[in-house]
Amino acid sequence: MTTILKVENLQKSFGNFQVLNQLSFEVYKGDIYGFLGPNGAGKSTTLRIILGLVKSDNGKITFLGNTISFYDKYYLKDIGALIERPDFYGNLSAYDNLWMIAELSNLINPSNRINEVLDLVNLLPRKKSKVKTFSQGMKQRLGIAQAILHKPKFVILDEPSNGLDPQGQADIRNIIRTINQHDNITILFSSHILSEVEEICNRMLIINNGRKIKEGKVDELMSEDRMQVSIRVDNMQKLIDLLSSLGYIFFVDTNQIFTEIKENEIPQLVQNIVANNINIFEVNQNRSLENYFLKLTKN
Amino acid sequence: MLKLIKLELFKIFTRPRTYIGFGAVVFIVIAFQISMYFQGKAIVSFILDNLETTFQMSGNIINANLATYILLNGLLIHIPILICLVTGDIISGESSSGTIRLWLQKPFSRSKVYFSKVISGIIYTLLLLMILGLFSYVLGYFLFGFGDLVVVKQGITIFDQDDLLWRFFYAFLVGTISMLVVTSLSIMISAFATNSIVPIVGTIAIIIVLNVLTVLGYNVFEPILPYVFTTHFNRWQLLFDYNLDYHEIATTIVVQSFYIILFLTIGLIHFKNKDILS
Amino acid sequence: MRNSLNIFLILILTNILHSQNITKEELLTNSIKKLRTIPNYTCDVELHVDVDFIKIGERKGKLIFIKPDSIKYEIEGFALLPKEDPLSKIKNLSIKDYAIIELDPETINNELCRNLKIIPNYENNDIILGQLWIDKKSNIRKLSIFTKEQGKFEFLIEYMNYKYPVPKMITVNFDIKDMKIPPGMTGELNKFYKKEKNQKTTLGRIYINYSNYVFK
Repeated sequence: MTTILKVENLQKSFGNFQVLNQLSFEVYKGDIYGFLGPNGAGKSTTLRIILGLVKSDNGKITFLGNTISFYDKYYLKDIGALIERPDFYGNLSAYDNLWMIAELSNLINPSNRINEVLDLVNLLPRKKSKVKTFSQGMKQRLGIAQAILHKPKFVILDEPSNGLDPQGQADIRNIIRTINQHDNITILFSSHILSEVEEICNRMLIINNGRKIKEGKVDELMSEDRMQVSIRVDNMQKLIDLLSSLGYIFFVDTNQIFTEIKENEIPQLVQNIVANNINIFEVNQNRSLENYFLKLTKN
Repeated sequence: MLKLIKLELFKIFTRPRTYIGFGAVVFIVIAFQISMYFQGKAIVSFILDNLETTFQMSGNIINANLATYILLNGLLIHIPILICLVTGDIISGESSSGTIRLWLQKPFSRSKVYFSKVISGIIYTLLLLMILGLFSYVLGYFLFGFGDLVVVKQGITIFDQDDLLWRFFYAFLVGTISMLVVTSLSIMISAFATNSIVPIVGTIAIIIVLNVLTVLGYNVFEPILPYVFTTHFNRWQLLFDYNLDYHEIATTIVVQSFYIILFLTIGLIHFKNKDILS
Repeated sequence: MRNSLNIFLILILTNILHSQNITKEELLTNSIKKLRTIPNYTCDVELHVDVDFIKIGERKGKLIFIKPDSIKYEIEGFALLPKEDPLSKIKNLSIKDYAIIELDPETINNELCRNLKIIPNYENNDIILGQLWIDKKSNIRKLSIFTKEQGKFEFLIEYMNYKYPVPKMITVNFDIKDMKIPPGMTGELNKFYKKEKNQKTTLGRIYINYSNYVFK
């Protein structure tokens, strides 16, 4: 696995308030890397430091093997980004905004590429419309378009689904998957929508109060933790007896029993239930990442 | 860098606000020259009343040269306001709208981004002044024709028409240097501010306050006034002395150049190091 | 030889005695008549203004004189021209309207001139007081006029060597009040603090050179 971005011991304070405290993490080539944390955890600050918008007090960042410096911006040619809300020149059209970005990126024959990315984000029919007439969702999509316009190796997306309806969120996820898989772009993806991170990220980082809480593969982190499972069976009493004998903590709600269990233990539990001649009607997992996240950040 | 400048100019000239400045200059020139067309003789008669008792005057005193000369006095307050409308917004406007991030997350040093904005601000200033001068001259020619220039300033000096072109040229240069101080000051404040209002209002307020100090507080502030940049705003008039005072002209150029460099340097240092949080 | 010399001396003395014998009224009348003989003409002029607070370059052009009093200047650019033509003023003088007093002769530009003062008999006269220095050829060499409207003017006249008494150079001396312009109109804002000076009177001059006469 090739490291594309490595952050080591990043520190940053604004006045007396320390925002980042020895933060370290690593993004590998090809990752869709989730970046999670509650409000004020330091996510945006971290991303701004990577992009050279904010100067760190201490720490080291390496991109494609080269240490980056606040005053040397050359490495940014391989990075595209959408930080917080997407801001454009409202009096210009979508096409003109992207044209300016293309000019900054020294794109040869920018017209084709502009149309290509606008098509990817489903904005081609509105390319001549002024951006000030766009909805929030359209602006978010245009933001992604400008981030990938110059075919960077690495894209940073800071809450790209912010303010979008479920369909809009789904569209964003599809776009992210497409650019990751087809264009081989590594993505650092910050989000509050935990289901999104769980759905599309392969690796993630959870931070709080400027510190790393957990980092690793999403499925590995999920399997470490106990999740809530609800089971509906034909003989509730028999199941209660079984769970008690196996040492599970559970509670009964109407016609379902809820218990906490590790993901990798679920198959064994199901086998035990079946072996005890209890018929299973339904087994459901609850939002595990949310619980996991809340648990970690609360601690 | 050329590309950055080209894009900055594209942004400036696709904004409606830019044309407020040009429109205002055109309006001022038209309004002034029309009033001069109807009232000029009365005004000139008032100024030269002293001479009319002694001399009979022949020749066209109300002409394009006089109109342009008088309009150049707008360099004191009016033109600085119109300059600030665009240059004051050149960094802070993008900070408040967030579009500054689009530029700073590209592989260009902040110095290049800063200087591309400075240069495009300078180009806008030069264009504004050129429109003032050329339009005034051309409209004046159609309304009044050319002629000798009567300058009333500690006496009366009459310049032959043939002697005027180079004077106006250098006067515009000197006036331009002063206006570039305004450009630099507004860009410097813009580098610190996160909204458009502060640099525009701030720059104008500084100019007005310094002008008031120059007039009302002369006795108190006399020793420092030669080093205050607003004192030199009307020094382009030195080019309309019969015998040029080269020392004074050089002093003006040096003082104003110092302020340009000072303001731009302060702005650059701050811009290079500031955290972009918007 | 001696006889020729004697005749010459007699002629000179006769001339002097003759001119001394012309009354002051006759002298002035002769001067006026001479001025009235000048026909229409055009000539080239060069004007140079010498006033403390006025800076203006030399002006060149043409002067067109049409009898009896019309003088028109054709000068390129802006020019400051004398308000009055001195000789026209005298040409139109009616001697009976003035009392003439003769003072001691004076030499003006190396010419011995009789010195006449004229005082109007009536209050409504434009000329309040005048003084003329007239040479033996009845040419007015110097003229000093006080007028109601323009104040005092003094003209020093040199003549061309023509049969008509047309000027070669006229020097006009006059008093003029210094300029008083509101500083706001000149853009010199730092002048506001200064007390307004009393308007002082300064001496001004205009030099007019005439050449290339063409009589019609």
